[in-house]
Amino acid sequence: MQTQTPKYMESEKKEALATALRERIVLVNDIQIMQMGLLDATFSGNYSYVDIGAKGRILNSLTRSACLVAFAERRAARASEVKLPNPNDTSEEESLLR
Amino acid sequence: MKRRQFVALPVGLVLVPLGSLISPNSHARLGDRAVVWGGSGFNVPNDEIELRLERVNRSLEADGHAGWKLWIDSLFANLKKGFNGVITNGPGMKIEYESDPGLIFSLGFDYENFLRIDILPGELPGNDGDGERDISFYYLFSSIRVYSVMIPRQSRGRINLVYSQPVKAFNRTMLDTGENSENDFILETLMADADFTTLSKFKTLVGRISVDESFFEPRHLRVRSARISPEVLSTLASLKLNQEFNANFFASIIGVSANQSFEASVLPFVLTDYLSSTFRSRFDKEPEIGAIFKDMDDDVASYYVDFSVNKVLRKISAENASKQQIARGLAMDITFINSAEKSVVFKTTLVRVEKREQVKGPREESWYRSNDSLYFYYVIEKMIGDFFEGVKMSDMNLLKNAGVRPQDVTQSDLERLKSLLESCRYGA
Repeated sequence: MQTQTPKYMESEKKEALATALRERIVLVNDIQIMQMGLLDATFSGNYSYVDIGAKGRILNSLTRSACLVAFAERRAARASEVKLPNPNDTSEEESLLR
Repeated sequence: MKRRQFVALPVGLVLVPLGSLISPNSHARLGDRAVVWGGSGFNVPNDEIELRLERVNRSLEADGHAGWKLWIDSLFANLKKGFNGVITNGPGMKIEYESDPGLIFSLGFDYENFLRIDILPGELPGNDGDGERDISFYYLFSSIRVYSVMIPRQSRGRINLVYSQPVKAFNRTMLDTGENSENDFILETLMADADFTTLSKFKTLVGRISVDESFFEPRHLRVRSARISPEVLSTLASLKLNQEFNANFFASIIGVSANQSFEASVLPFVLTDYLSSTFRSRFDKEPEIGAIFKDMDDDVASYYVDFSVNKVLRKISAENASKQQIARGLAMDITFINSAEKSVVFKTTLVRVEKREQVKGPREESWYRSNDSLYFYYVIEKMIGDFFEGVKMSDMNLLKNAGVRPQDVTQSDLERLKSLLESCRYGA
């Protein structure tokens, strides 16, 4: 009876999380480059108030979304590696049964 | 050794007529005593065979009962080969009323469970990775019984149960979903050339029993009363395990465990009337022999076991993003009773919990059910097995595995129970 049930999608899940996290970081880096461009335009003094305001709002919204998702994925990736408690500690369940 | 008389042995064997298997030359005598074949069948009422022993019944009946033919052939061949004596009155051959059949060998099926854990493509490495086959488990509990018969025609006859050995056969494999594959798998569990089969257990027992020793009858143990509380039934029903985890299952595990640790003679839990129905029909003068059987005392067990499964637990004890830790356990009271004195010899509560990791993921319900079934089985087998082994070895660690703590029993309690179980050993 000593058998291992299949480790369903465990490695695939971890890999998917890691890939998603890497892709999200690339996106955050891209956004940073876009922010640098906006900053350059601002300091150059050669811009339209209307145009740079709209671009700034869109970029802020994008940044917030990317950061929130990256944060959630990072937490999920960490949580998937959390070790479960010692399976030999069954005292609580045994007291429930007695 | 005290000998007992009885009429209603707990056997509902269906005799399979295969008289052609017996050579006329084997119709010899061994002094006054000879050995006869008693048949193989089911230790459940007829109308419950398809419900409780569906798989083994279907596999044996497939292809025009080809499985039955093969099974009886194998059993009888092993009886002839392994028994140190002369075999007469094989299957399908009427026993003369005036003769004395001596020893009778029979085998009945008590309980089965088949389960399948579905495998998705890519879950297992190598050739098993195509997802076409699933991990399948099958366990089958049976009872092998040996009777000693003395039938003086002018007075009450005497049939003694020499030995009743509960046996377990367990098999697992990667199995496709075809019915033929399943049938082959069941038949392999029954009679393949391997140690795990029912046939190999029969073969071993046959070699150990001798005509001379048949005069010594050990005491017999029998699970008399089985209670499963409504709360436990409700929990098992919610897990869809109430069909498999029934009273017969617990009784079978107790019987096999007691036998494995003490070689104890254990009567099957389900009582059916073998002697006054099936065995009576083996004789050429049924009414006359039936009258003798009817006149016999029917109490053969020296000790009873009563148990009550009071609580069962299945809960997620911890989890992370990808896995769950599932706790499964149960608690049962078990009592050993001296049938003659009607006194309790030993009583305790067994408790065992096991935690196992299980990966999360959307799966068929049957996948969860199969995992629960497998691991509940493991918990119960380990708990009861460690209990009997702990009593035998006087090992408190093993007893603790079964939930029996040092404060729950005294050394003299354990010694008394050990002595009881040892008196049920064949040849004791």
